[in-house]
Amino acid sequence: MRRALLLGALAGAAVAAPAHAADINVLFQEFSPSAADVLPGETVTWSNISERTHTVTADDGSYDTELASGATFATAAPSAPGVYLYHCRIHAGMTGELDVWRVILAPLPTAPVPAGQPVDFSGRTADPSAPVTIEADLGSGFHTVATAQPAPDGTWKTTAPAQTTGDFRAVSGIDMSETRRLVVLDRRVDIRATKHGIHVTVTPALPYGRLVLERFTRERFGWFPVARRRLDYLSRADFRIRRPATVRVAIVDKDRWTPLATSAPLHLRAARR
Amino acid sequence: MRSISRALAFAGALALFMAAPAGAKTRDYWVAAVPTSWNIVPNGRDAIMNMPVDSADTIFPTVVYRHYSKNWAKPLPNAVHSSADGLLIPGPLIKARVGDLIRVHFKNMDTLRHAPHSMHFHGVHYRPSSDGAYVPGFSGGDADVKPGHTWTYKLRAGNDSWGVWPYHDHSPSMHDSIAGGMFGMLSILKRHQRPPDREFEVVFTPFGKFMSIDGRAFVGNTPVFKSRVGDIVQWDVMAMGSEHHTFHVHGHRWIGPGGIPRDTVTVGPAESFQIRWREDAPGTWLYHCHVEDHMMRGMIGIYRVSKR
Repeated sequence: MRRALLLGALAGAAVAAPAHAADINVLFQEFSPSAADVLPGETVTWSNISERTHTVTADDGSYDTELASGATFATAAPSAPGVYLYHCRIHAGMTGELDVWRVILAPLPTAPVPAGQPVDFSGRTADPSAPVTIEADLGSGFHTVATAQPAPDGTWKTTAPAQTTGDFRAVSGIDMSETRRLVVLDRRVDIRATKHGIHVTVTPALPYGRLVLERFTRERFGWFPVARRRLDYLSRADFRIRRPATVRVAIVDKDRWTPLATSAPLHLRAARR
Repeated sequence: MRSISRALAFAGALALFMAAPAGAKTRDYWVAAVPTSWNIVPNGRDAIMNMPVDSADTIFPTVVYRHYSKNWAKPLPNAVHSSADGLLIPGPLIKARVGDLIRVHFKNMDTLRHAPHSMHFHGVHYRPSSDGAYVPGFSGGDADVKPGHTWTYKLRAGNDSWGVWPYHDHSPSMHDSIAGGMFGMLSILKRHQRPPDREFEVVFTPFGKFMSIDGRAFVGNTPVFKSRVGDIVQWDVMAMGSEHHTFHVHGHRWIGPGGIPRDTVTVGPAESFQIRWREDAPGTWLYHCHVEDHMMRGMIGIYRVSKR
């Protein structure tokens, strides 16, 4: 029965949506992407573009094939949503996963987006007859920010203006995609030299926001974090810095690394004796 | 003749026995498994190939070993800054001398994955209750320290324990934990050995899409090691994971086993070694894994020697 359903899904896919398949590259010591989002029954194809032989082996034993350099292998994704692990039997630690969802939200821009700029949301759904809504949690719970009507092949696309940094997901009926974070540049960071370092202000105010001081140096081949601090309750902070130095300050997201806004660089000349 | 050698052996044994309590110390280390947000490539680029690196591939939460003051009161650096750039990967550098007792007080503060953890040490002497390796039906609390729980590992640096050794998680979660950075090194001096002026920690591991040194990839992100001409520098090198690596430093040679000069040495999973030399080559040099695929994926750093 399951096989018949899968075949049906495949036949349907062949007619309506031949383009929507997941392609996974098999590299020297990894699958790329290591986690692939797929709809139930979609075709997944592995291509060994490395110079050594690998296997593509489902942890649950549902498929197991040896893949010589240059070879490909295709199978239909499982019909039930969930995480399905696979690995290479030859090379320990070489693992991957198929994440089967009934609605998929494609990755959002990884670079911060200026506030007000339209952001494209796109993906695929297993139920083209139902609208897909985009929900955002900008700090006070999820609410709808956009709606899309899927094409007959299940693809959908819509846009919404970037407001502030938050988590986004696509919803179709009772089905939900994974949550993806969008980083929005909605703050301005200003720095000025003081006697012993720099003074930082952020507007609009971001009390207790996380700051990273970065220095530009030859031995770090660019900008590199050297100190961390929180803004005070009035959205100000000070850093002590030994001169000479070229510095800038970034507000970072809760992961402590992703910049939400970065100041202009400032060169602090050597102190006069 | 036999009586003389027997007397000498007795005197030697007595000297060893006398020396042990005189210089031996009990060293306490307080360590916890803690969550952190890691960035493999903070400068955002592969500078040698002049290629940007997508931060979506480099930033992720993980669990690491962190050094603490007594009773886990406050966090401390894992090693002096010059040993590994002040990073939390590798874990605390556990230093001792032959004859010492080492007590590692471990607390599992994993609030990220809520997984069990442990510490398993190579190269030192201990009872099975300090092995930290999970064997269902055999091992005890040492091997499966649940979140919020603690264990004290009691180790002894024997006469055959000098050198550099790995430690790592050997609990049921070890595979994910090691891939996320739960490993570190023991550095044990011989009884009367002089400590080096500079000690550098180099741990070769795969990390996400990259091949890392101390959890960092590409020049500028991996530790920038520094010394001055005349310094005794010691490189503590080990590998974790499932691949072999070849440690190579530009502009330098050292004497390997059998008295043969070397400038590259192979290190396999959980193998470790130390190399020492007196620095005499000022300049900025590369150190890297010479497996070329690994080097191109980030296993490379710079070493700067200044004139005295």
